[in-house]
Amino acid sequence: MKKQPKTSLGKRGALGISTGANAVINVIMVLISLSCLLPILLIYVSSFTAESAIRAHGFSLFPKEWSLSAYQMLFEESLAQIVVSYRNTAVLTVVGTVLSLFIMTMYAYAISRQVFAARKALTFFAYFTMLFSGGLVPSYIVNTTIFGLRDNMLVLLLPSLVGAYNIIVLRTFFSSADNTPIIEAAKVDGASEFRIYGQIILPISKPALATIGLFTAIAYFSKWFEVMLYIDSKSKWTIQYMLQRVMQDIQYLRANPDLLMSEEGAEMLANLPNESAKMALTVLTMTPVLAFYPYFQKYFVKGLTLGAVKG
Amino acid sequence: MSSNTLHRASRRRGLSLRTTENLSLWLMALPAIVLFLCFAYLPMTGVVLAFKSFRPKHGIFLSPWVGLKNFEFMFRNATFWMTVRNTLLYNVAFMVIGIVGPLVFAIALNEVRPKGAARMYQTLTIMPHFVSYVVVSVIVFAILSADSGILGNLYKQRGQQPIAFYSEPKYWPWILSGVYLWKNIGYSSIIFLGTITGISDEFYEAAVIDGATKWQQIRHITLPFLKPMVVVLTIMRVGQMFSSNFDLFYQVPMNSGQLYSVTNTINVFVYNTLRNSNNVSLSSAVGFVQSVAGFLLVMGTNQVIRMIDSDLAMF
Amino acid sequence: MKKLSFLIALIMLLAIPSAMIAADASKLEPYEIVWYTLGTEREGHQAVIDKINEYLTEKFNATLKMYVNTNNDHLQKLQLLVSAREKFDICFVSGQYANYVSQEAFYPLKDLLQEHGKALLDTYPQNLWDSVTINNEIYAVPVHKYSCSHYYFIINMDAAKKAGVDTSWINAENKMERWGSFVDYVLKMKEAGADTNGYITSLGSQPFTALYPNEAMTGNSADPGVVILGDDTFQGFERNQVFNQFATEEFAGYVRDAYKLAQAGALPLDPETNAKLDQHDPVVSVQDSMAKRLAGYEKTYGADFEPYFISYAFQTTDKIYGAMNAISDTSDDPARAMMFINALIEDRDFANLVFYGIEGVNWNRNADGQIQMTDPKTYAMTTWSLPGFLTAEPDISLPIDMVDRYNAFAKELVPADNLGFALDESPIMIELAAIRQVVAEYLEPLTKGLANPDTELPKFLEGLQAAGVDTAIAEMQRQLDAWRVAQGYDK
Repeated sequence: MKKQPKTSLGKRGALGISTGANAVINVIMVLISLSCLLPILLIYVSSFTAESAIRAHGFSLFPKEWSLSAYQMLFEESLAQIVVSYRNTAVLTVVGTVLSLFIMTMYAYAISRQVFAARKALTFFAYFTMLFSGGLVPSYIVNTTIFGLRDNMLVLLLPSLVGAYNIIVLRTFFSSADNTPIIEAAKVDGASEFRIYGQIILPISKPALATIGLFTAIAYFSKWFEVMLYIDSKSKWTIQYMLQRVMQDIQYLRANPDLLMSEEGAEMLANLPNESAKMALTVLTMTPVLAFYPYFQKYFVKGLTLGAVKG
Repeated sequence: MSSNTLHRASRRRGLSLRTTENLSLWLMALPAIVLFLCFAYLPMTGVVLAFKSFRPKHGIFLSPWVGLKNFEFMFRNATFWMTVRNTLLYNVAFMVIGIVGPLVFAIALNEVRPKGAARMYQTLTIMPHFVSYVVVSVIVFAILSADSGILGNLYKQRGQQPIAFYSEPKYWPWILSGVYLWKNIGYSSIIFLGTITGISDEFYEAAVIDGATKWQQIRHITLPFLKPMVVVLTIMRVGQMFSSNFDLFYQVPMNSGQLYSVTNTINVFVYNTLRNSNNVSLSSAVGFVQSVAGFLLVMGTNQVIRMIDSDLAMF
Repeated sequence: MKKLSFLIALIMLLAIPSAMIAADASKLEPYEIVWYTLGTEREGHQAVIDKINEYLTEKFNATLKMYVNTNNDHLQKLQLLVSAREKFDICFVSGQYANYVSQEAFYPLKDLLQEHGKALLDTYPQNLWDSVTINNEIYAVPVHKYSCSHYYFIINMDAAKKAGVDTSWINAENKMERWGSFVDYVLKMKEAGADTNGYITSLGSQPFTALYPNEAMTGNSADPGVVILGDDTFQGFERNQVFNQFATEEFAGYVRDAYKLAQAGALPLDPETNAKLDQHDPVVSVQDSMAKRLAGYEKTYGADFEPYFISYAFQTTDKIYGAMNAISDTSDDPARAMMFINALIEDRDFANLVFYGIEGVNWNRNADGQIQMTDPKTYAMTTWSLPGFLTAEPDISLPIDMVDRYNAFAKELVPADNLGFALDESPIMIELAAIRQVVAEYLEPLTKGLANPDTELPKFLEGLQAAGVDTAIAEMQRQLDAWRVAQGYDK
């Protein structure tokens, strides 16, 4: 079917909504965005606010005193350590995302194919892992005694390479995109499943790849719990773990109020970072993601690259 | 060519090709299968801990069986059933909020002009996703606190007694739902945006030629295209129906005892009960109950959907 | 000839013992001691480890591999280390001690202490060992320090003077008289507008436990089921009679006091808010035995503080559990681990090394001769968790005469009657689970004055009844009686 020429209705074309409706939606969007933005702004500002000002006057968008001490506290580790941690995170994120997308899209493609006899069984096989889990102790025992992954960075990479949620979403992207005509046409031309996957389906599934790629990248970037459990060497830390250690101690104290009242708790509290450091941690977690976000975003906000998406 | 014709054509190609196709597809699925087996199914055998009394010296499989004993502390506890009720109610509400909200948001975002503004709205609204519930609890406290919060100070300035939010249960279903919506609306809309982007413009152009209004376009093109994704996401949520986010229900209400009737969910219950016990078997039992209940619910839901429209069922 | 052979024999006779002594350290195979403890690894860490290893190699042919973690990480990691039976030698352990013992996680120490722990046995008071004895065996080495409950309110004397409110009651003899005066004091300060935040301090259940010293059967004073401790506490109960402390007149009185204060606007409206020392709030609550940090606070915040001690200091098993080190059952050489711990108690310089690092590199002596860590710290251990706490010198965060103060304090410390009693919760697990839910809902609001005792206290008590508190207490009594008979305290 040929593309229709643009109508005389101008830039928005007949595909657009009325100006009135557009205005209303814009207003609502602005309100929602502000409600998201203001607390975030508060977090950013608070991370640069002196701790004494926060304790005296609470959080404010216009603090009485500015300070970099929160960041200094979070980055108490040596510069060398920070660099190493960032490097670990970067490598883990890139390798993990690429590998994960590759493995998951192959699986999702396979289970999206009507001709695949094992389709329903393998969908169930994947989804079942979302429902049942052995828990932390069995996973730990398996990872350490059977796979020998103690203090090994592979333990951060391998278990998260596949996730049922992402696979199912990918499969839904593939099957609802109504690719059957294209696939069948390729088959008539004698293409193998691998070729169809690589040369036809993947290129036209950019929104799907961008979406799941983003989720996966963020997941790898945020990894800290596994580092805490399995990693001993500081040279294998990720940046998130380096920052989160501090936050976890705060939560631990909050959840154990009787500890707060003990000698040990008082000691811990005295040494813990404070409100501004909590905010600084959030800033440090969020900003890198926002930095690489637009790169993904263009693939799923339609109209930006009108026509180019479908290739 | 209609797709029926194409299917008949493919069947005519014969069994051997079908087998080759299947073999290729099996190969494609293989890496993920291996990973699932190693890191999901192998540890999953540890689920037997729910029926055992864990003795590390004997390992998981040689620890003694205790039958259903690990489940008694839950089932014979009236508060437990209350937390199950709370969990279910919140999850149903969150299912609606977490799907309808982002869905509407995505559709609106897709239509709004100029595109630059749309990109900006989208970027701003995903930011709350990265704020942990601990920090969220601090912000909420900074607003709601009767002693030092923004609202508290407003009341005091007007000479009124501030509302002690952290002592009044009735506000909290709304507060928690609002927090949940705030945190998730932007990020969850990404999946829907991705789906909408995949809808070919040709459909809309054809509709315009047929004289369809915007609303009709959405109803007859956009929504049907989104249906499979909505159904799948709903089914997956149903599987998690008996779980709750610990941080949302513990940290945000600042663990205030007076709010327990509305903030106590299964995960908080488990935390309070097992805190001093460090008991692996008991927590395993709770996980098992949540899994089985979720599993039964999903199978049931999937069955119902299969009867309505077999293409939409997950399996 | 005879003389020569006699000389040779004499020399050989003398040579043999010295050869034996010299061979002692080298008779031992080299061994790496793996220790999971608390702290953070700063840049100077490895250099200190190297120095420690020099010492250990010379002494008993061992080296140390130290894994330092923050508190939260350590708690999580230890659970997994024990569950997976990973090989390690020593670990820090606290509240979960009895639980881990039941999981056979730790190596029995009685014999080991006799052979290699002489310094430990000599310096530790007997009741410290009694508190960690389970089933007639010792499984951990407690940190010998001021482990106890000693609760006080810091009164800001400058604020009191400014408001013109009397503070002479702080040193009154009678405990209840002091408490009554305290409540009045807070009300008067509130009236005089002396506070900076609109409230004075928050209460909670800790001051209640401090006011009526008791020993909790589960080790957690927020669980019902306690016995009295000392002479000036709950009225109307026999020694070693387990009762529900929340059903007493004393609790009702405390909760009513809290409510009175809250109604007058002297307490915060939110459970999270606390009075702050650096905000110069007039009354702040602390748990700091011997008030040893008071001088430090005064210096830091530039005000005149006085401690209002609620009651006498008392020692319960759970406080001692708060900081201990255990040798793992998976260790390949428990003797070597014990030698290491013993060395920390025995050798002051070695203890200083492990606690603070290398002199001149990680710390220096200040004008008073006290150890002062460099700023920023290049070596950071969590010193209250280390064995040898009283052996190592106190650094500037503690008073220079800490050991003397501790010895004097230890004489006044009132120990619980049942140090070492560890309740087996499994027979009453269901009741305790239900009870803890009720407590989580009611205790904090009641003790912080947020809930009206006339309506909520009866609900609390009814909730406890419905949860089976009587059954639980009966079982606690039964176990306690049996234990006391086994210990030889009762017949």
